[in-house]
Amino acid sequence: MRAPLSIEDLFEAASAVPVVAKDAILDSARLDILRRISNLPTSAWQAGDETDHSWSEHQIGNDELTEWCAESDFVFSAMKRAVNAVGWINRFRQHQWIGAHKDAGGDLQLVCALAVASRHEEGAIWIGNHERLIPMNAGDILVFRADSIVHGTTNISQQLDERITLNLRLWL
Amino acid sequence: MQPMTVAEVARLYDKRAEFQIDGTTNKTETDAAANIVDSLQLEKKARILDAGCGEGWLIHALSDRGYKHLYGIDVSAEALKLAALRAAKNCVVLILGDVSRQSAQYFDLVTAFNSSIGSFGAEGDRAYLKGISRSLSVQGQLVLTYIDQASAQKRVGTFRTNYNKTNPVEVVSDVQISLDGKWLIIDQIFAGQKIARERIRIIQHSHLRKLMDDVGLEMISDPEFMARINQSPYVATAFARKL
Repeated sequence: MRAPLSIEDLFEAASAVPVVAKDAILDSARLDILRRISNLPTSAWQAGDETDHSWSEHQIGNDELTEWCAESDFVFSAMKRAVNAVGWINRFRQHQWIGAHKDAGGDLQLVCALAVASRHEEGAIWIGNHERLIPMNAGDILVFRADSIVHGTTNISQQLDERITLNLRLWL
Repeated sequence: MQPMTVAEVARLYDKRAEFQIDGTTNKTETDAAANIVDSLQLEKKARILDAGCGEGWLIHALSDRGYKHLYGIDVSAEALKLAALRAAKNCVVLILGDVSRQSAQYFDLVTAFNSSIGSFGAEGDRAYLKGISRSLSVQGQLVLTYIDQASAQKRVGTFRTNYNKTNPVEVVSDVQISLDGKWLIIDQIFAGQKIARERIRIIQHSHLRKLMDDVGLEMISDPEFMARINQSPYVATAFARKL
């Protein structure tokens, strides 16, 4: 029972308030992207920042971005709407999170949930303040103004839990 | 009669949203819904999900009343777009999708006024309530309105309503009960344009209670509270708590 998605409508709404598009990435596409991620060499990952709770980040090169996005029709269409896009993967494991921040530049940011922690409140993105979590399942995409809205993620406490996102910053 | 699909409901509400009803005509209904939320005496920081938020009238009213964590979910992208444009920027998150796919165990309250329950058939109704149940934190509450036999009878007839103060949109609604007595059938003409027929199954209270039991929701029968919230003759109201 999938809801119909229109990227134009989604972008228009997300320019005003954060919007989650449920089930925007099909499971098969999500698993293909996760497979790509699992094939990345250790050297492809960097620490997201210099804290002791830092997550891991992989910057997707411009020449590769189309290939990564093409795994999902929805993500590919979203990327194609932009005049410029940059992409990266974030991976959070036990005791890792991102503190409050705004991102520099771009009109809209897509946070595509590829894997989520077993407890919804862990490894969750929050927007505006720590009390406003964005409930997301794997396959959901959050679209929001990351340059103007303070956001971060919550800690992951469980050893086996992992949160993996494909992120796109779009200039429209 | 066939139940509606999620895509059909989305198309129906996308079409209605095109007419940009400005909310002046249904303000009384929206205020009544907001009063029901107020009567639950939740903290202003309670996390509230409006299931089937449509164009965001209730979310808008609740943000005016100081509620800080408001979420709306709807399958209609057109309606959601309008909800986004009128939403308070710092307290609203919108979700485009089907509530039956929700699973956050996060919300203190789910509201489902003029809910879609009944539209999707028995299996769809169960999935809808299951999604709501999964969305609620333990002891989280649900207020849901539905069409029962008595409210269906009161709806039957042909009505003309002029929506919008400044740019009137005449809506002609023809409401009937199906011959087998199981469905409410709504045909509407918005500004001369006929839109798709809406079909809502008439639900008995006992059936709804059973459905809720099945998905971990306990229907609450607090006579004083129910007397306060059961003010509309056009819908029946159910109040439940997540076990």
